[in-house]
Amino acid sequence: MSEPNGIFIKGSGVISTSGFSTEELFLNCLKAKSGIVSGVGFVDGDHLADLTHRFQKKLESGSSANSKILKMSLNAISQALETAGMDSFDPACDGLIVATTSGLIENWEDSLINSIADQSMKANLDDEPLGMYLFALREILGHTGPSLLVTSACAAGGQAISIAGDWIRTGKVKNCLVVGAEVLCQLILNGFRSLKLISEDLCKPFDQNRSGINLAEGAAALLLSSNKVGATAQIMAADFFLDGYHMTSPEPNGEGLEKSIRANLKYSKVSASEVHYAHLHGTASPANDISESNALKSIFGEESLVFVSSTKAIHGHTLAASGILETSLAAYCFVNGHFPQSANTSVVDSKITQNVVLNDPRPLNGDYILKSTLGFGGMNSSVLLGRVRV
Amino acid sequence: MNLSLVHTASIEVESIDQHILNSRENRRATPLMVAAKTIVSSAINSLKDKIDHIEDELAVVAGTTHGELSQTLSFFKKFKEKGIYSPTIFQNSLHNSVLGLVSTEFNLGGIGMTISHGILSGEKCLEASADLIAAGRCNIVMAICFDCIPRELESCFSNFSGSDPSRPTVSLAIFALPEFATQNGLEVQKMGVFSVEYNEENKISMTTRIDSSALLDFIKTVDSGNSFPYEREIEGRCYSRIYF
Repeated sequence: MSEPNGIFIKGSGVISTSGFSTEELFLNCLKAKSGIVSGVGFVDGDHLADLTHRFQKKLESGSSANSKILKMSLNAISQALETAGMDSFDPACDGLIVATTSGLIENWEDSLINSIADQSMKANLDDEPLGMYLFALREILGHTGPSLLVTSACAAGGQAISIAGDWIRTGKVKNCLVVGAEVLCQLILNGFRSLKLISEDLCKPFDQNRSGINLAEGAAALLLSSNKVGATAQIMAADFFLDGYHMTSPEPNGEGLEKSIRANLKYSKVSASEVHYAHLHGTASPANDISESNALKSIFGEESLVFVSSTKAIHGHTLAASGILETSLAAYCFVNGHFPQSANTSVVDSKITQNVVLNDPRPLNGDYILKSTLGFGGMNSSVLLGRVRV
Repeated sequence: MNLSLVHTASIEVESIDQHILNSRENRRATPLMVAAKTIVSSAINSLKDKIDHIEDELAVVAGTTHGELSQTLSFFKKFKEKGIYSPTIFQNSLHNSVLGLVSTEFNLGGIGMTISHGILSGEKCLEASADLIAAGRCNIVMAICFDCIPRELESCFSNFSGSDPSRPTVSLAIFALPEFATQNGLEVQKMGVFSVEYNEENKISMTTRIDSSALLDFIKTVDSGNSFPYEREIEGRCYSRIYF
């Protein structure tokens, strides 16, 4: 049962610091149960199942076979395919789009650092190309359909959803598995520290005392389809735009995000007043939160009634995976009937005029949810989700 | 997808004067970024007179296998030598940094993304660009590819046989919807049905040719007037064909 231009979320899976399924993480968001410790979030790899046997084959050899990012990804993919129905994805012709900024870096970073230390320059960098992560997934899944790896910084996940939607709409594929994953490494941790963006405490999105972000590991998978049977949400529109402002800061007025949200509304023919809740990127960096708020102000007005929140204090910022992981959460609001509060936010910054949800979850009384994601290099993306009409 | 090719360019990093690379204006930019700025500037200037708001109209897809690997190396080297992690080197080390630099330099506000696909990054960049037009997201799109492996890291890849790392190249091709090219009076280098075909074996050891030079090869094929498909075969295990 496919609808013209209809793109549906048929299955979702999540591996995070605060939950090993979409439902578990969502409920922990409602309970404000965080997995962040001392400002960062590491996934407990010991509790990840080795799921390669579920798929076509194990990796033949090499360090990739045991890499954490692959285990996390396969756990998330397995959940997505189980919820969608294992026969809902044909690896021979359906699409696979992945989003990551560092791929299999755990396999080569130490080797590079050690080779610099001993001046040997004998590191093994065979897994260094980002595409190796995608190739490893394809080999395990036996995937031979269209594939792509998107690495547009932290907006990559949102972009991957957009491209998957395009592939389905244009008939390139019928279904598309969208996967985002990230593990923390020295490059990322020390790089963000050098930019002075990290908070050692639990982050406080939109709070007047916010002091930075919590980086975290995570993986998420969504099975998108033109078939709406059993779907949890419809992707009404998904767009992405540059803002051309700065290498590491979003444009202060949120111009890029505003453009993306306006494109969502125009394409879907949904009015701004119909959007009930916006799950924002809300990293708790001073620049991000103001930029997002200003984008929303332009569209929804100064005294907007749209409820907004960020769940970064629960699962942390999973970089390229964030757009997919948090779209999973946003879609799950339609299943649960509530949307989460902005955990660990106490006093909203006076420059942020949106209706930030504090303290407790709220009932979802509308049909449309917005999800925004921003990234370094002026990347902005947004996904408009709708309730599936039976 | 029927497309018009309206601009192509490539530049070897070593062809850029040292005083430009080391200028104050470029003090935070890598050599690849300076090269990208140079050819993107030329491309945008050639379109500016014909297309209003080209900065908002032009979509960009960046393709790279290794991104700015030299910056990742520098990030850790600088820490070893001076005990500090450089924020500038970190931001430059991201695969998305060239697109970020180009978009900020030219105030681009259209669609933009960076993709990476191992040895097929060039082909995937071209295909993703065409897909954006096919999906109706834009009327004109720039595919831009770059890669550079520091010489001292060549031996760290077991199957290295990429293009000469001392001569890293940035290349770009701009495609437009044929009607859009006509309406705006764009000079068309070639027009036709564009598609890319692959036969990929899912071998994760596919590091034989580790750069995104397919875009450069595509430009050379167009410039030479050779007929398509342009075909690339890698050790008999994998091939791509670009039809145009």
